[in-house]
Amino acid sequence: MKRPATTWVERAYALSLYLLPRDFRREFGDEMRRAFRDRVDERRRENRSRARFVLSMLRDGSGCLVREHLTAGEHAPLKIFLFAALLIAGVGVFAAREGIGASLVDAVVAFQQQRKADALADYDRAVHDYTATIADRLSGDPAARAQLMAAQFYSDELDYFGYRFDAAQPRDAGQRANRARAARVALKNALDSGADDAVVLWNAATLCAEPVCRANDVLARLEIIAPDNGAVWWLDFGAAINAGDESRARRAVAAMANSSQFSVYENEMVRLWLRAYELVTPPERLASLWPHAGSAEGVIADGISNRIEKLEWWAARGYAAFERVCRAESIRQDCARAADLMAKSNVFEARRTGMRIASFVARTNEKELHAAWRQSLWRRVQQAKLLYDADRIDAPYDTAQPAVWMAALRKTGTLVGAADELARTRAIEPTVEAQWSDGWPIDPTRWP
Amino acid sequence: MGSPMTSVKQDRPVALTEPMHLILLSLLHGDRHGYAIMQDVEAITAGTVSMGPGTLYGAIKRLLQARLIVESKQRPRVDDDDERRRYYRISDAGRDVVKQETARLQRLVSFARRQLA
Repeated sequence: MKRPATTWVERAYALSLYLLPRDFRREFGDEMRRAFRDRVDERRRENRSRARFVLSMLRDGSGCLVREHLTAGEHAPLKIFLFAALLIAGVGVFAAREGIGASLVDAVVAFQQQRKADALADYDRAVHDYTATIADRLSGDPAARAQLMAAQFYSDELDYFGYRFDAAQPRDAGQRANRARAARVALKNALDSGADDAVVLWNAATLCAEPVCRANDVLARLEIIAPDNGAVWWLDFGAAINAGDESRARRAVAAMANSSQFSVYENEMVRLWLRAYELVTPPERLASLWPHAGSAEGVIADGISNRIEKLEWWAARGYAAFERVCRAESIRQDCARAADLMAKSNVFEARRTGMRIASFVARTNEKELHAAWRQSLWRRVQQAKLLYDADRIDAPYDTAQPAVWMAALRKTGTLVGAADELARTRAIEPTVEAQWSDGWPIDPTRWP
Repeated sequence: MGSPMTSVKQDRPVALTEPMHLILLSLLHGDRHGYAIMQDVEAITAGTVSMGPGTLYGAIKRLLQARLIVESKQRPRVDDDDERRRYYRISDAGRDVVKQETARLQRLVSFARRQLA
């Protein structure tokens, strides 16, 4: 006994099957009705567009009708004509019923909106595929680390590195909110499935700004599976600097220096990131990301100085950041120059150009930008000084740099001027000792 | 849609269209009914190909006629089993066709890579 069709569209589909050749209908008609109903249920579950669904079924049905009649030779012309007439009438009735609108423009607009939503679904699917690819390539616990990468990519990184899925790149506030939600879900999945993955927990504890990462049990779990990992001291160090508590910060630095595992985890996290970038960055751009080391693994393995690793790292991020913001015609020339400088490994020159771009993007004048940078640089100078006092004179470039900037800033009075000064003097990779030659402490109240 | 190829192991040549090829790939995983094949095809193609019932059963008819698939009496999917559903299984001839088509596609990919390098 046949199950009755329960919606008007299912009833219409069942009737349309009578246009097919008799033998074909008798052999496959029941299954086609069943498959159609499954598709209707699926569309309802996934909340896909009904208009798009009906149009796709009409296309499928018309192709089947023509194909089967041509092979069967059974009153083909009459039935095809009948179907065409019904199709035109049906589209009109459907359009009126669905309220798509009498005008073709309204229908096209509705279709474009659905296409945009479908493109967003495609984007999410592509992110999922990429994290699956990353899971295959990363060592350790692939599921948890892939979820961690997914969380980062949903929140920032794919967009940061200019990865495009044609028209699918989410842009408006609603889509960004959806991505943030997806990031939190992925992060929770990473933490849930990576309960014994020290790298995942360490990264979440030290870098994650989401509330789920700040939960106390992340650190507690990390301490159980990897004692002396140093993460708690990194967090304490940051909190101390923000609070202006120098003695607390000094204790934290000393603890980090004594933690043998701290740099192990930090390097492992960098390795994870660089491998992930390598996987999602178009091949033609990879060469510009690691011009010195030649590959992500080369960067990690470069034992000469971790300054080079940081330079490569920040060059890679800077390159992508420039591309991300460089859409305005007025700064296109600066952007092209910055990209060219990055590609030639002239990181500092590129950063000088980048200052102009940043100023444009921030839409602030020099004074306001100066104030914001001063606050940020002061914090970083404190960090650098503490690392120096803790005898870590091989401190990474990015934390040692602020003192150099400050010296140039005092001399020239403007941030852009400081960038020009440093480019002129080629003060790119001074040692920490050389940076302190102009004296300490540097009192921000005496800045120009 | 994909270009047809001929199967050298059949009594007469079979033009293998893309829907037919995708159905054979789905059945490599095991016996399937029609809707399950539709879902597999979407998964295999990462959502880029969505088959309607008309396309699906038109291709199934041709595959049955060419004896590349057969109807299966077994019920592998217990969770959504419906005794009125018909299950299909890939035949040995169908597997041969998939192997030949895979080899053909690999030759094309190798050629393209050499030209693009």
